[in-house]
Amino acid sequence: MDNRSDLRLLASLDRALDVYGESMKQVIYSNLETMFGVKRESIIDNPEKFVETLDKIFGSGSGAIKKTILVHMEELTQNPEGVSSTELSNALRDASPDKARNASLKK
Amino acid sequence: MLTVKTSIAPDLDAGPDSDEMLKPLLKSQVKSILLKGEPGTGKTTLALELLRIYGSGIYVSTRVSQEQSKDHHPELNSLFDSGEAIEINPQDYDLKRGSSSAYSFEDLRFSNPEDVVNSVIRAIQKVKKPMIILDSWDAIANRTEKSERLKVEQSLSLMALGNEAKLLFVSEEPQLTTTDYLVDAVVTLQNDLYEGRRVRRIQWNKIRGSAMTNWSNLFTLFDGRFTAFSQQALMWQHIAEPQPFVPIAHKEAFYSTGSDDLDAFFGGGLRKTFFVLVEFGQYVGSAAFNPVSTSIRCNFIMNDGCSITIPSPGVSANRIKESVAHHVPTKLIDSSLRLAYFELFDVDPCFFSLNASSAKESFDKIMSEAQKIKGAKNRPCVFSFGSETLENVFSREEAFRFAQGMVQRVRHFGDVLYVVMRRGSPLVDQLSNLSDIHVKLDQIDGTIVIHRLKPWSQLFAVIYDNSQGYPKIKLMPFV
Repeated sequence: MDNRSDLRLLASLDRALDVYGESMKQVIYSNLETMFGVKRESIIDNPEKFVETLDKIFGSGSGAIKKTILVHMEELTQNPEGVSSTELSNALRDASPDKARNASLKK
Repeated sequence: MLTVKTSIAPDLDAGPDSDEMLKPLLKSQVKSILLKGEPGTGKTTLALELLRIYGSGIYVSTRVSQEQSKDHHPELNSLFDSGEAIEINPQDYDLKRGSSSAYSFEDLRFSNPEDVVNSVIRAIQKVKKPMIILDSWDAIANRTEKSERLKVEQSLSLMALGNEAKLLFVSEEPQLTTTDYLVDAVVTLQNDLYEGRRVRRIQWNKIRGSAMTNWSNLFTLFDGRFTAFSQQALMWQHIAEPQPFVPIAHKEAFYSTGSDDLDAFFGGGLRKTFFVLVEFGQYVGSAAFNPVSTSIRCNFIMNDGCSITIPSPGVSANRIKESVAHHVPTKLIDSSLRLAYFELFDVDPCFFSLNASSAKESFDKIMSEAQKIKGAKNRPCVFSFGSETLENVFSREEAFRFAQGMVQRVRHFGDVLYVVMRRGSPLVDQLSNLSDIHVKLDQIDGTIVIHRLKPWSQLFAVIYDNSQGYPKIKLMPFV
């Protein structure tokens, strides 16, 4: 993957997960790969799988982590209860400028 | 990792009172527990007991191997053998059901926090609402920096909360750590000494959502099980629906106390001709000993024997008679129970008065009553008196001579004598020297305890069980 925007996005994802500790971050990435065969670098292409991994690990507590991720992606959420899986998947997809341009080209 | 799927066999039940005391830890408001204590205080045994009561969970060992676990805690085998076991394949999360006694054990002794978290993740996914025991957590957490440790603990708590699991951290760190502040409940296990005997204590430091009326309770690890002792009423016990006393037969050389445990404590029973001195601790009195006295009296009377007592101060003749009358036919009581007083208030066939002005006359009166009640058959008789009663009435020397005379009589006729004595009595050394057995009854953290000073014995918790309608005394050693 050579997209600079995606690299920045992954970096902010790393920072968000660092809130929960280096060990936890590695656990999330390793479980994503074990469960769905998705490596860290491919999260942007498979945001739903990443979100599903968070749900499997944290259950109903995953909302807090999703919120943390979005905050670090400099997206604000108005939902005091946390963030839904759809919102995060969409945000991760839409946050990539190239993805947004490709989507508009397809229109 | 050892996995338990379902509830445990009922024969592993440690007792309803002990389970009730532990249940506040298993309330829904308590998502995480920290169990602290120095090595050897019983943390793993308590963790397993909580797992048994909870009904399903995972035990993650970070200190010992599977074989060592089995050796240290044999009950671990039956705990997991009785449940349905799951073999976990960490490679592909493909669960395969093993045989009823097969289980998977993950040795995490040389692991890092990531390995532990992954174990917890797998467990949460496959066991519904599990209790997850990390034994011990500090074996892993101490390898990471403090800030990282806190983050991992918070993440684990979040995982447990989101999956309705319950986390139990086992720790040997005595000082406050990040875990103390994070968890919902903290209990500490301690070893202590009481007159040179081991005592175990569970301290309730914090339990969210529960009112903690006790700061601590005593417990034992007898038989490899965690059994906590509730605080017992040290007041005079009332039995709601009294039942006839079921006696235990005397043996050739011993008189039974009416309790198998007490008989064993005395070395087979109250040996004929023996003098037993019962010394009370600072915070116990006659009420705490009454179930024992009642059991002894009832057992003697129901075995065609008799009982003669000079009660301790503050214990009325009517109350003693009533305690026995609940469980023994009236006809037997009138012919077999005698209570002596220096000031007589009631007229009763069981009561007789002594002369406070003359120790000799009082002694002769006791002997005369004994001869009458024992009859031509020389029925076995248990004599008992409160030494404080004699000390209040007679001089110290007279009181001691009185006791000596009683002992000589008991030895001559093959009866038995027990004397109850308050703490700090001036006669304690003399009577102890005269005694064949010297025991001490006390209370620690609300639990009545007993041990022998002469000959030496370990400490026992005394449990008064009135469930059968009469006092049944059980003793449980502190191990």
